[in-house]
Amino acid sequence: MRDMDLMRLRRQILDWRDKWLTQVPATLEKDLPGLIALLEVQINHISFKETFRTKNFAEKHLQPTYKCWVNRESEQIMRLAEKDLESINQSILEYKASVNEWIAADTSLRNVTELGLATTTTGVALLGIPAVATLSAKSAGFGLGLLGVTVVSWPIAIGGAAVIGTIAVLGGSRLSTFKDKAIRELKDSVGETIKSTVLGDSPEKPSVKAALQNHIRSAATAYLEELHRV
Amino acid sequence: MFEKYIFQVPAEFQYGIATKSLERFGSIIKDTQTGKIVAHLQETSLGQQLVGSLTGSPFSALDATSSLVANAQLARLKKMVEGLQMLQYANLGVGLAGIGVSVVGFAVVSKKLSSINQSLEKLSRKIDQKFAELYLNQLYRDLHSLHGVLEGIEATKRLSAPKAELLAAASRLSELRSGIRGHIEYQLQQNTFDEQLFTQLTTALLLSDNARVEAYLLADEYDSAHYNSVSIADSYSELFDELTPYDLSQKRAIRHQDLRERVSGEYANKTAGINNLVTGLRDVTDAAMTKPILIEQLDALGISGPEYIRSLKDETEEPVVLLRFES
Repeated sequence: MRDMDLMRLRRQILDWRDKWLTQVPATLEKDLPGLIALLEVQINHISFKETFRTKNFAEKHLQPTYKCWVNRESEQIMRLAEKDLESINQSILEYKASVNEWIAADTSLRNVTELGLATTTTGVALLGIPAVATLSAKSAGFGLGLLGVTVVSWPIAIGGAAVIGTIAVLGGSRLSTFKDKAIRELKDSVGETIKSTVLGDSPEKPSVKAALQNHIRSAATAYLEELHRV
Repeated sequence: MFEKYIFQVPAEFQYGIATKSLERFGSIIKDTQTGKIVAHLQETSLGQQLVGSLTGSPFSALDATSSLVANAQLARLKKMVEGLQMLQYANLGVGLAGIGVSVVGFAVVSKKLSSINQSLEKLSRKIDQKFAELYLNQLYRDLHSLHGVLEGIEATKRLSAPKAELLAAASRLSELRSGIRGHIEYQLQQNTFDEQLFTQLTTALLLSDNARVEAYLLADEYDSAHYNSVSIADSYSELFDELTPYDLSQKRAIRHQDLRERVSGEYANKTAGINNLVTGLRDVTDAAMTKPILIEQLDALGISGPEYIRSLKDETEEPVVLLRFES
Protein backbone atom coordinates (compact mmCIF):
# COMPACT_ATOMS: atom_id res chain seq x y z
CA MET A 1 0.00 0.00 0.00
CA ARG A 2 1.96 2.99 -1.26
CA ASP A 3 -0.63 5.61 -1.97
CA MET A 4 -1.06 8.15 0.82
CA ASP A 5 -4.84 8.31 0.44
CA LEU A 6 -5.05 4.56 0.79
CA MET A 7 -2.73 4.65 3.81
CA ARG A 8 -4.94 7.24 5.47
CA LEU A 9 -8.11 5.25 4.72
CA ARG A 10 -6.47 2.12 6.13
CA ARG A 11 -5.72 3.95 9.36
CA GLN A 12 -9.27 5.29 9.56
CA ILE A 13 -10.71 1.79 9.18
CA LEU A 14 -8.42 0.40 11.89
CA ASP A 15 -9.31 3.26 14.23
CA TRP A 16 -13.01 2.69 13.54
CA ARG A 17 -12.68 -1.03 14.29
CA ASP A 18 -10.71 -0.37 17.50
CA LYS A 19 -13.23 2.19 18.67
CA TRP A 20 -16.29 0.01 18.09
CA LEU A 21 -14.78 -3.16 19.51
CA THR A 22 -14.55 -1.22 22.77
CA GLN A 23 -17.79 0.68 22.28
CA VAL A 24 -19.92 -2.47 21.86
CA PRO A 25 -19.27 -3.91 25.36
CA ALA A 26 -19.30 -0.44 26.91
CA THR A 27 -22.79 0.27 25.53
CA LEU A 28 -24.13 -3.16 26.43
CA GLU A 29 -22.75 -2.90 29.97
CA LYS A 30 -24.30 0.52 30.38
CA ASP A 31 -27.74 -0.56 29.12
CA LEU A 32 -27.94 -4.07 30.56
CA PRO A 33 -29.23 -2.99 34.01
CA GLY A 34 -32.26 -1.54 32.21
CA LEU A 35 -33.12 -4.92 30.72
CA ILE A 36 -32.61 -6.70 34.01
CA ALA A 37 -34.86 -4.19 35.77
CA LEU A 38 -37.54 -4.76 33.11
CA LEU A 39 -37.35 -8.53 33.53
CA GLU A 40 -37.51 -8.19 37.30
CA VAL A 41 -40.73 -6.22 37.05
CA GLN A 42 -42.20 -9.09 35.05
CA ILE A 43 -40.90 -11.66 37.51
CA ASN A 44 -42.59 -9.72 40.33
CA HIS A 45 -45.90 -10.49 38.67
CA ILE A 46 -45.36 -14.24 38.53
CA SER A 47 -48.27 -16.21 39.99
CA PHE A 48 -47.80 -18.87 42.63
CA LYS A 49 -48.77 -21.53 40.09
CA GLU A 50 -46.24 -20.24 37.59
CA THR A 51 -43.40 -20.67 40.08
CA PHE A 52 -43.75 -24.39 39.42
CA ARG A 53 -43.32 -23.91 35.69
CA THR A 54 -40.65 -21.26 35.41
CA LYS A 55 -39.59 -22.54 32.00
CA ASN A 56 -42.99 -21.78 30.53
CA PHE A 57 -43.08 -18.43 32.32
CA ALA A 58 -39.68 -17.51 30.94
CA GLU A 59 -40.58 -18.47 27.40
CA LYS A 60 -43.90 -16.65 27.52
CA HIS A 61 -42.96 -13.46 29.37
CA LEU A 62 -39.19 -13.03 29.60
CA GLN A 63 -37.92 -14.29 26.27
CA PRO A 64 -39.95 -11.77 24.17
CA THR A 65 -38.70 -8.91 26.33
CA TYR A 66 -35.13 -10.12 25.97
CA LYS A 67 -35.42 -10.55 22.19
CA CYS A 68 -36.97 -7.14 21.80
CA TRP A 69 -34.23 -5.52 23.89
CA VAL A 70 -31.40 -7.30 22.04
CA ASN A 71 -32.80 -6.33 18.65
CA ARG A 72 -33.29 -2.71 19.64
CA GLU A 73 -29.91 -2.48 21.33
CA SER A 74 -28.05 -4.16 18.45
CA GLU A 75 -29.74 -2.04 15.84
CA GLN A 76 -28.90 1.09 17.77
CA ILE A 77 -25.23 0.13 18.17
CA MET A 78 -24.86 -0.92 14.56
CA ARG A 79 -26.63 2.17 13.31
CA LEU A 80 -24.16 4.37 15.19
CA ALA A 81 -21.21 2.26 14.01
CA GLU A 82 -22.46 2.47 10.45
CA LYS A 83 -22.92 6.23 10.69
CA ASP A 84 -19.34 6.45 11.90
CA LEU A 85 -18.27 4.47 8.86
CA GLU A 86 -20.14 6.63 6.35
CA SER A 87 -17.36 9.20 5.95
CA ILE A 88 -14.82 6.42 5.33
CA ASN A 89 -17.14 4.82 2.81
CA GLN A 90 -17.58 8.16 1.10
CA SER A 91 -13.81 8.65 0.97
CA ILE A 92 -13.33 5.23 -0.62
CA LEU A 93 -15.99 6.05 -3.16
CA GLU A 94 -14.37 9.39 -3.98
CA TYR A 95 -10.95 7.80 -4.12
CA LYS A 96 -12.10 5.12 -6.55
CA ALA A 97 -13.83 7.68 -8.67
CA SER A 98 -10.66 9.77 -8.78
CA VAL A 99 -8.58 6.73 -9.73
CA ASN A 100 -10.96 5.93 -12.57
CA GLU A 101 -11.02 9.50 -13.85
CA TRP A 102 -7.29 9.66 -13.63
CA ILE A 103 -6.79 6.45 -15.56
CA ALA A 104 -9.31 7.42 -18.19
CA ALA A 105 -7.96 10.92 -18.64
CA ASP A 106 -4.25 10.47 -18.57
CA THR A 107 -1.93 7.65 -17.65
CA SER A 108 1.23 9.73 -17.75
CA LEU A 109 3.26 9.97 -14.58
CA ARG A 110 2.81 13.73 -14.49
CA ASN A 111 -0.72 13.28 -13.22
CA VAL A 112 0.47 11.14 -10.36
CA THR A 113 2.17 14.15 -8.84
CA GLU A 114 -0.82 16.36 -9.43
CA LEU A 115 -3.02 13.95 -7.55
CA GLY A 116 -0.68 14.04 -4.60
CA LEU A 117 0.13 10.38 -5.01
CA ALA A 118 3.59 10.93 -3.70
CA THR A 119 5.92 9.28 -6.17
CA THR A 120 6.26 8.04 -9.65
CA THR A 121 6.69 4.43 -8.58
CA THR A 122 3.41 4.59 -6.68
CA GLY A 123 1.69 5.60 -9.87
CA VAL A 124 3.29 2.81 -11.81
CA ALA A 125 2.20 0.32 -9.18
CA LEU A 126 -1.37 1.53 -9.38
CA LEU A 127 -1.43 1.44 -13.13
CA GLY A 128 -0.14 -2.08 -13.04
CA ILE A 129 -3.05 -3.43 -11.07
CA PRO A 130 -5.63 -4.81 -13.52
CA ALA A 131 -8.47 -4.68 -10.99
CA VAL A 132 -8.41 -0.89 -11.02
CA ALA A 133 -9.94 -0.75 -14.47
CA THR A 134 -12.98 -2.77 -13.43
CA LEU A 135 -13.81 -0.72 -10.36
CA SER A 136 -16.68 1.68 -10.51
CA ALA A 137 -17.81 4.34 -8.11
CA LYS A 138 -20.88 2.24 -7.39
CA SER A 139 -18.89 -0.65 -6.03
CA ALA A 140 -17.56 1.48 -3.21
CA GLY A 141 -20.94 1.26 -1.54
CA PHE A 142 -20.39 -2.40 -0.79
CA GLY A 143 -19.63 -1.84 2.85
CA LEU A 144 -22.77 -0.25 4.15
CA GLY A 145 -24.73 -3.46 3.97
CA LEU A 146 -22.17 -5.23 6.10
CA LEU A 147 -23.51 -3.92 9.34
CA GLY A 148 -27.14 -4.86 8.90
CA VAL A 149 -28.25 -6.67 12.03
CA THR A 150 -30.65 -8.99 10.27
CA VAL A 151 -27.93 -11.48 9.44
CA VAL A 152 -26.82 -11.82 13.04
CA SER A 153 -28.29 -14.76 14.90
CA TRP A 154 -28.73 -13.78 18.48
CA PRO A 155 -27.90 -16.13 21.31
CA ILE A 156 -30.99 -17.40 23.04
CA ALA A 157 -30.82 -16.23 26.60
CA ILE A 158 -33.68 -17.64 28.54
CA GLY A 159 -34.51 -21.26 28.00
CA GLY A 160 -35.66 -23.89 30.47
CA ALA A 161 -32.15 -24.62 31.67
CA ALA A 162 -31.52 -21.01 32.48
CA VAL A 163 -34.04 -20.73 35.24
CA ILE A 164 -34.53 -22.60 38.44
CA GLY A 165 -36.50 -25.81 38.40
CA THR A 166 -39.68 -26.74 40.18
CA ILE A 167 -39.58 -25.93 43.85
CA ALA A 168 -40.87 -28.35 46.47
CA VAL A 169 -44.37 -27.66 47.72
CA LEU A 170 -44.61 -26.55 51.31
CA GLY A 171 -47.47 -26.05 53.78
CA GLY A 172 -50.21 -23.36 53.29
CA SER A 173 -49.03 -20.83 55.88
CA ARG A 174 -45.64 -20.66 54.30
CA LEU A 175 -46.86 -20.17 50.74
CA SER A 176 -46.22 -16.45 50.70
CA THR A 177 -42.65 -16.87 51.96
CA PHE A 178 -42.17 -19.63 49.47
CA LYS A 179 -43.29 -17.44 46.58
CA ASP A 180 -40.97 -14.62 47.68
CA LYS A 181 -38.08 -17.04 47.79
CA ALA A 182 -38.97 -18.40 44.34
CA ILE A 183 -39.09 -14.88 42.91
CA ARG A 184 -35.73 -14.01 44.48
CA GLU A 185 -34.11 -17.12 43.08
CA LEU A 186 -35.67 -16.62 39.66
CA LYS A 187 -34.38 -13.05 39.54
CA ASP A 188 -30.87 -14.18 40.48
CA SER A 189 -30.93 -16.98 37.98
CA VAL A 190 -32.26 -14.83 35.14
CA GLY A 191 -29.87 -11.98 36.01
CA GLU A 192 -26.83 -14.25 35.85
CA THR A 193 -27.96 -15.91 32.64
CA ILE A 194 -28.70 -12.61 30.96
CA LYS A 195 -25.29 -11.17 31.93
CA SER A 196 -23.40 -14.12 30.50
CA THR A 197 -25.57 -14.29 27.38
CA VAL A 198 -25.16 -10.61 26.62
CA LEU A 199 -21.59 -9.99 27.80
CA GLY A 200 -20.02 -13.44 28.17
CA ASP A 201 -16.62 -14.42 26.78
CA SER A 202 -17.09 -18.17 26.43
CA PRO A 203 -16.00 -19.40 22.99
CA GLU A 204 -18.51 -22.26 23.27
CA LYS A 205 -21.46 -19.94 23.88
CA PRO A 206 -20.97 -16.78 21.83
CA SER A 207 -22.62 -13.79 23.49
CA VAL A 208 -24.46 -10.83 22.00
CA LYS A 209 -21.28 -8.82 22.58
CA ALA A 210 -19.17 -11.36 20.66
CA ALA A 211 -21.70 -11.49 17.81
CA LEU A 212 -21.68 -7.72 17.41
CA GLN A 213 -17.90 -7.54 17.71
CA ASN A 214 -17.51 -10.22 15.05
CA HIS A 215 -19.69 -8.12 12.80
CA ILE A 216 -17.46 -5.11 13.37
CA ARG A 217 -14.33 -7.17 12.69
CA SER A 218 -15.80 -8.66 9.51
CA ALA A 219 -16.80 -5.25 8.21
CA ALA A 220 -13.32 -3.82 8.93
CA THR A 221 -11.66 -6.80 7.24
CA ALA A 222 -13.89 -6.42 4.18
CA TYR A 223 -13.02 -2.73 3.95
CA LEU A 224 -9.28 -3.39 4.29
CA GLU A 225 -9.47 -6.09 1.62
CA GLU A 226 -11.29 -3.67 -0.64
CA LEU A 227 -8.48 -1.15 -0.17
CA HIS A 228 -5.91 -3.77 -1.08
CA ARG A 229 -7.82 -4.48 -4.28
CA VAL A 230 -7.68 -0.86 -5.41
CA MET B 1 24.13 19.96 -1.05
CA PHE B 2 20.68 19.61 0.43
CA GLU B 3 20.88 22.76 2.58
CA LYS B 4 18.85 24.49 -0.12
CA TYR B 5 15.84 22.45 0.97
CA ILE B 6 15.21 24.66 3.91
CA PHE B 7 14.64 23.19 7.33
CA GLN B 8 11.59 24.57 9.01
CA VAL B 9 10.46 23.96 12.54
CA PRO B 10 7.06 22.30 13.06
CA ALA B 11 5.64 25.45 14.70
CA GLU B 12 5.53 27.09 11.28
CA PHE B 13 2.89 24.61 10.27
CA GLN B 14 0.82 25.07 13.40
CA TYR B 15 -1.77 27.31 11.77
CA GLY B 16 -2.29 24.98 8.81
CA ILE B 17 -2.71 21.93 11.01
CA ALA B 18 -5.05 23.79 13.39
CA THR B 19 -7.24 25.00 10.54
CA LYS B 20 -7.06 21.61 8.82
CA SER B 21 -5.69 23.11 5.62
CA LEU B 22 -2.70 20.87 6.28
CA GLU B 23 -2.79 17.29 7.45
CA ARG B 24 -0.08 15.05 8.83
CA PHE B 25 0.03 11.40 7.91
CA GLY B 26 2.98 9.32 9.03
CA SER B 27 5.98 11.57 8.50
CA ILE B 28 4.37 13.60 5.75
CA ILE B 29 2.46 16.86 5.80
CA LYS B 30 0.12 17.35 2.89
CA ASP B 31 -2.24 20.00 1.68
CA THR B 32 -5.77 18.77 2.35
CA GLN B 33 -7.19 20.55 -0.70
CA THR B 34 -4.67 19.60 -3.37
CA GLY B 35 -3.39 16.42 -1.75
CA LYS B 36 0.15 17.54 -2.51
CA ILE B 37 2.96 16.77 -0.11
CA VAL B 38 4.15 20.06 1.34
CA ALA B 39 6.83 18.76 3.68
CA HIS B 40 8.49 15.70 5.18
CA LEU B 41 9.02 15.48 8.91
CA GLN B 42 12.52 14.45 9.82
CA GLU B 43 13.97 13.76 13.23
CA THR B 44 17.45 14.95 14.08
CA SER B 45 20.11 13.50 16.29
CA LEU B 46 18.84 15.77 19.08
CA GLY B 47 15.34 14.29 18.75
CA GLN B 48 16.67 10.77 19.14
CA GLN B 49 18.74 11.80 22.17
CA LEU B 50 15.59 13.16 23.78
CA VAL B 51 13.57 10.03 23.03
CA GLY B 52 16.46 7.98 24.39
CA SER B 53 16.55 10.00 27.61
CA LEU B 54 13.08 8.81 28.62
CA THR B 55 12.98 6.15 31.25
CA GLY B 56 9.33 5.14 30.94
CA SER B 57 7.57 3.33 28.11
CA PRO B 58 7.92 5.10 24.77
CA PHE B 59 4.25 4.32 24.26
CA SER B 60 3.06 6.47 27.14
CA ALA B 61 0.79 9.38 26.28
CA LEU B 62 2.67 12.50 25.23
CA ASP B 63 3.30 14.53 28.35
CA ALA B 64 6.68 16.03 29.04
CA THR B 65 6.12 16.39 32.74
CA SER B 66 5.32 12.72 33.27
CA SER B 67 8.58 11.48 31.82
CA LEU B 68 11.64 11.17 33.97
CA VAL B 69 14.30 13.02 32.10
CA ALA B 70 17.45 14.82 33.03
CA ASN B 71 16.71 18.42 34.09
CA ALA B 72 19.04 19.86 31.50
CA GLN B 73 17.01 18.27 28.74
CA LEU B 74 13.58 18.98 30.15
CA ALA B 75 13.08 22.24 28.27
CA ARG B 76 14.14 20.67 24.98
CA LEU B 77 11.99 17.62 25.56
CA LYS B 78 9.04 19.85 26.41
CA LYS B 79 9.55 21.65 23.13
CA MET B 80 9.70 18.36 21.24
CA VAL B 81 6.60 17.01 22.96
CA GLU B 82 4.70 20.20 22.20
CA GLY B 83 5.78 19.99 18.57
CA LEU B 84 4.64 16.36 18.28
CA GLN B 85 1.38 17.10 20.08
CA MET B 86 0.72 19.89 17.62
CA LEU B 87 1.36 17.38 14.84
CA GLN B 88 -1.16 15.04 16.50
CA TYR B 89 1.15 12.18 17.39
CA ALA B 90 -0.15 9.99 20.24
CA ASN B 91 3.17 9.34 21.94
CA LEU B 92 6.93 9.19 21.49
CA GLY B 93 6.77 5.58 20.28
CA VAL B 94 6.95 6.93 16.76
CA GLY B 95 10.48 8.10 17.56
CA LEU B 96 11.46 4.44 17.75
CA ALA B 97 10.37 3.88 14.18
CA GLY B 98 12.15 7.01 13.06
CA ILE B 99 10.38 10.18 12.05
CA GLY B 100 11.65 10.39 8.50
CA VAL B 101 14.76 8.26 8.27
CA SER B 102 16.43 7.32 11.52
CA VAL B 103 19.66 9.03 12.45
CA VAL B 104 19.98 7.44 15.84
CA GLY B 105 23.47 6.07 15.31
CA PHE B 106 24.53 2.48 15.88
CA ALA B 107 26.29 3.04 19.20
CA VAL B 108 23.08 4.47 20.66
CA VAL B 109 20.96 1.62 19.30
CA SER B 110 23.45 -0.86 20.68
CA LYS B 111 23.27 0.78 24.11
CA LYS B 112 19.47 0.71 24.02
CA LEU B 113 19.51 -2.98 23.18
CA SER B 114 21.74 -3.65 26.18
CA SER B 115 19.20 -1.89 28.31
CA ILE B 116 16.41 -4.03 26.81
CA ASN B 117 18.42 -7.15 27.58
CA GLN B 118 18.77 -6.08 31.23
CA SER B 119 15.04 -5.38 31.46
CA LEU B 120 14.23 -8.79 30.03
CA GLU B 121 16.51 -10.46 32.56
CA LYS B 122 14.64 -8.74 35.39
CA LEU B 123 11.35 -9.62 33.77
CA SER B 124 12.28 -13.26 33.32
CA ARG B 125 12.77 -13.62 37.09
CA LYS B 126 9.11 -12.76 37.53
CA ILE B 127 7.71 -14.83 34.74
CA ASP B 128 10.13 -17.71 34.41
CA GLN B 129 7.41 -20.25 35.11
CA LYS B 130 5.69 -19.15 31.92
CA PHE B 131 8.71 -19.41 29.71
CA ALA B 132 10.49 -22.45 28.54
CA GLU B 133 14.21 -22.19 29.20
CA LEU B 134 14.91 -22.74 25.53
CA TYR B 135 12.74 -19.82 24.55
CA LEU B 136 14.54 -17.41 26.83
CA ASN B 137 17.94 -18.65 25.71
CA GLN B 138 16.99 -18.10 22.11
CA LEU B 139 15.74 -14.62 22.90
CA TYR B 140 18.99 -13.66 24.63
CA ARG B 141 21.02 -15.13 21.77
CA ASP B 142 19.10 -13.09 19.22
CA LEU B 143 19.45 -9.85 21.17
CA HIS B 144 23.16 -10.43 21.75
CA SER B 145 23.70 -11.15 18.05
CA LEU B 146 21.89 -7.93 17.23
CA HIS B 147 24.08 -6.10 19.69
CA GLY B 148 27.18 -7.59 18.10
CA VAL B 149 26.18 -6.55 14.57
CA LEU B 150 25.48 -2.97 15.71
CA GLU B 151 28.86 -2.75 17.42
CA GLY B 152 30.41 -3.99 14.20
CA ILE B 153 28.68 -1.23 12.22
CA GLU B 154 29.88 1.37 14.70
CA ALA B 155 33.44 0.15 14.10
CA THR B 156 33.10 0.85 10.36
CA LYS B 157 33.35 4.55 11.17
CA ARG B 158 37.09 4.07 11.34
CA LEU B 159 37.24 2.63 7.83
CA SER B 160 38.01 4.89 4.90
CA ALA B 161 35.64 2.94 2.61
CA PRO B 162 33.08 1.16 4.82
CA LYS B 163 30.48 0.41 2.14
CA ALA B 164 31.01 -3.36 1.95
CA GLU B 165 30.93 -3.69 5.75
CA LEU B 166 27.79 -1.58 6.00
CA LEU B 167 26.00 -3.69 3.40
CA ALA B 168 27.05 -6.93 5.08
CA ALA B 169 25.87 -5.66 8.45
CA ALA B 170 22.55 -4.47 7.03
CA SER B 171 22.00 -7.88 5.51
CA ARG B 172 22.76 -9.55 8.85
CA LEU B 173 20.32 -7.19 10.61
CA SER B 174 17.66 -8.33 8.18
CA GLU B 175 18.23 -11.97 9.17
CA LEU B 176 18.21 -11.19 12.89
CA ARG B 177 14.98 -9.21 12.74
CA SER B 178 13.17 -12.37 11.67
CA GLY B 179 14.08 -13.88 15.03
CA ILE B 180 12.84 -10.84 16.96
CA ARG B 181 9.65 -10.77 14.94
CA GLY B 182 9.16 -14.45 15.72
CA HIS B 183 9.42 -13.67 19.45
CA ILE B 184 6.78 -10.95 19.10
CA GLU B 185 4.46 -13.24 17.16
CA TYR B 186 4.93 -15.92 19.81
CA GLN B 187 3.95 -13.42 22.50
CA LEU B 188 0.87 -12.38 20.59
CA GLN B 189 -0.25 -15.99 20.18
CA GLN B 190 -0.40 -16.48 23.94
CA ASN B 191 -3.70 -16.33 25.79
CA THR B 192 -2.34 -13.62 28.03
CA PHE B 193 -0.60 -10.36 27.17
CA ASP B 194 2.54 -9.13 28.86
CA GLU B 195 2.68 -5.46 27.95
CA GLN B 196 6.17 -4.90 29.31
CA LEU B 197 7.76 -7.80 27.46
CA PHE B 198 5.91 -6.95 24.26
CA THR B 199 7.05 -3.32 24.45
CA GLN B 200 10.68 -4.38 24.95
CA LEU B 201 10.62 -6.81 22.04
CA THR B 202 8.88 -4.31 19.78
CA THR B 203 11.44 -1.65 20.70
CA ALA B 204 14.24 -4.05 19.75
CA LEU B 205 12.55 -4.76 16.41
CA LEU B 206 12.04 -1.08 15.59
CA LEU B 207 15.59 -0.15 16.57
CA SER B 208 17.15 -2.87 14.46
CA ASP B 209 14.97 -1.94 11.47
CA ASN B 210 15.99 1.70 11.78
CA ALA B 211 19.62 0.73 11.98
CA ARG B 212 19.29 -1.34 8.81
CA VAL B 213 17.84 1.51 6.74
CA GLU B 214 20.41 3.91 8.19
CA ALA B 215 23.21 1.51 7.20
CA TYR B 216 21.95 1.41 3.60
CA LEU B 217 21.73 5.20 3.49
CA LEU B 218 25.25 5.53 4.89
CA ALA B 219 26.38 3.14 2.17
CA ASP B 220 24.56 5.43 -0.29
CA GLU B 221 22.47 2.48 -1.48
CA TYR B 222 19.12 4.12 -2.05
CA ASP B 223 17.55 1.18 -3.88
CA SER B 224 18.25 -1.16 -0.98
CA ALA B 225 17.20 1.45 1.59
CA HIS B 226 13.95 1.89 -0.30
CA TYR B 227 13.29 -1.82 -0.78
CA ASN B 228 13.96 -2.53 2.89
CA SER B 229 11.84 0.37 4.12
CA VAL B 230 8.89 -0.87 2.05
CA SER B 231 9.35 -4.38 3.41
CA ILE B 232 9.60 -3.07 6.98
CA ALA B 233 6.36 -1.08 6.59
CA ASP B 234 4.54 -4.15 5.23
CA SER B 235 5.83 -6.19 8.13
CA TYR B 236 4.57 -3.65 10.72
CA SER B 237 1.19 -3.65 9.05
CA GLU B 238 1.03 -7.47 9.16
CA LEU B 239 2.19 -7.57 12.75
CA PHE B 240 0.31 -4.65 14.33
CA ASP B 241 -2.88 -4.11 12.30
CA GLU B 242 -4.57 -7.08 13.92
CA LEU B 243 -3.92 -5.77 17.44
CA THR B 244 -6.81 -3.98 19.08
CA PRO B 245 -6.96 -2.28 22.47
CA TYR B 246 -10.00 -4.40 23.36
CA ASP B 247 -8.35 -7.76 22.65
CA LEU B 248 -5.08 -6.83 24.36
CA SER B 249 -6.93 -5.50 27.41
CA GLN B 250 -8.88 -8.76 27.64
CA LYS B 251 -5.70 -10.82 27.45
CA ARG B 252 -4.03 -8.57 29.94
CA ALA B 253 -6.98 -8.87 32.31
CA ILE B 254 -6.59 -12.66 32.28
CA ARG B 255 -2.95 -12.23 33.21
CA HIS B 256 -3.73 -9.95 36.12
CA GLN B 257 -6.91 -11.58 37.30
CA ASP B 258 -5.38 -12.69 40.54
CA LEU B 259 -3.17 -9.71 41.15
CA ARG B 260 -3.80 -6.99 43.64
CA GLU B 261 -3.51 -4.28 41.01
CA ARG B 262 -6.84 -5.40 39.60
CA VAL B 263 -8.46 -4.61 42.91
CA SER B 264 -6.46 -1.46 43.57
CA GLY B 265 -7.50 0.26 40.36
CA GLU B 266 -4.05 0.16 38.84
CA TYR B 267 -5.51 -2.24 36.31
CA ALA B 268 -7.73 0.50 34.87
CA ASN B 269 -4.74 2.79 34.36
CA LYS B 270 -2.85 0.09 32.56
CA THR B 271 -5.83 -0.54 30.28
CA ALA B 272 -5.54 3.11 29.29
CA GLY B 273 -1.85 2.33 28.69
CA ILE B 274 -2.83 -0.32 26.18
CA ASN B 275 -4.84 2.25 24.24
CA ASN B 276 -1.70 4.39 24.06
CA LEU B 277 0.36 1.39 23.04
CA VAL B 278 -1.92 0.48 20.12
CA THR B 279 -2.25 4.09 18.97
CA GLY B 280 1.55 4.37 19.17
CA LEU B 281 1.94 1.24 17.05
CA ARG B 282 -0.45 2.67 14.47
CA ASP B 283 1.65 5.85 14.35
CA VAL B 284 4.78 3.72 14.02
CA THR B 285 3.25 1.82 11.08
CA ASP B 286 2.09 5.03 9.40
CA ALA B 287 5.55 6.55 9.80
CA ALA B 288 7.13 3.39 8.34
CA MET B 289 4.71 3.48 5.39
CA THR B 290 5.67 7.04 4.49
CA LYS B 291 9.42 6.53 4.92
CA PRO B 292 9.94 5.07 1.41
CA ILE B 293 8.41 8.24 -0.03
CA LEU B 294 11.10 10.37 1.64
CA ILE B 295 13.84 7.99 0.48
CA GLU B 296 12.57 8.20 -3.10
CA GLN B 297 12.56 11.97 -2.86
CA LEU B 298 16.12 12.15 -1.52
CA ASP B 299 17.29 9.79 -4.25
CA ALA B 300 15.47 11.70 -6.98
CA LEU B 301 17.12 14.92 -5.85
CA GLY B 302 20.56 13.33 -5.85
CA ILE B 303 21.17 13.99 -2.17
CA SER B 304 23.97 11.81 -0.84
CA GLY B 305 22.84 9.43 1.92
CA PRO B 306 25.91 9.92 4.14
CA GLU B 307 25.68 13.69 3.72
CA TYR B 308 21.99 13.69 4.66
CA ILE B 309 22.60 11.66 7.79
CA ARG B 310 25.59 13.85 8.74
CA SER B 311 23.58 17.06 8.43
CA LEU B 312 20.87 15.70 10.68
CA LYS B 313 23.41 14.53 13.21
CA ASP B 314 24.90 18.04 13.27
CA GLU B 315 21.56 19.69 14.04
CA THR B 316 21.68 20.86 17.65
CA GLU B 317 18.68 23.19 17.98
CA GLU B 318 15.67 21.33 16.60
CA PRO B 319 14.66 17.76 17.56
CA VAL B 320 12.34 17.47 14.53
CA VAL B 321 12.59 19.50 11.35
CA LEU B 322 10.54 19.79 8.20
CA LEU B 323 11.95 19.37 4.74
CA ARG B 324 10.41 21.09 1.76
CA PHE B 325 11.57 19.78 -1.56
CA GLU B 326 9.45 21.88 -3.86
CA SER B 327 11.36 24.10 -6.23
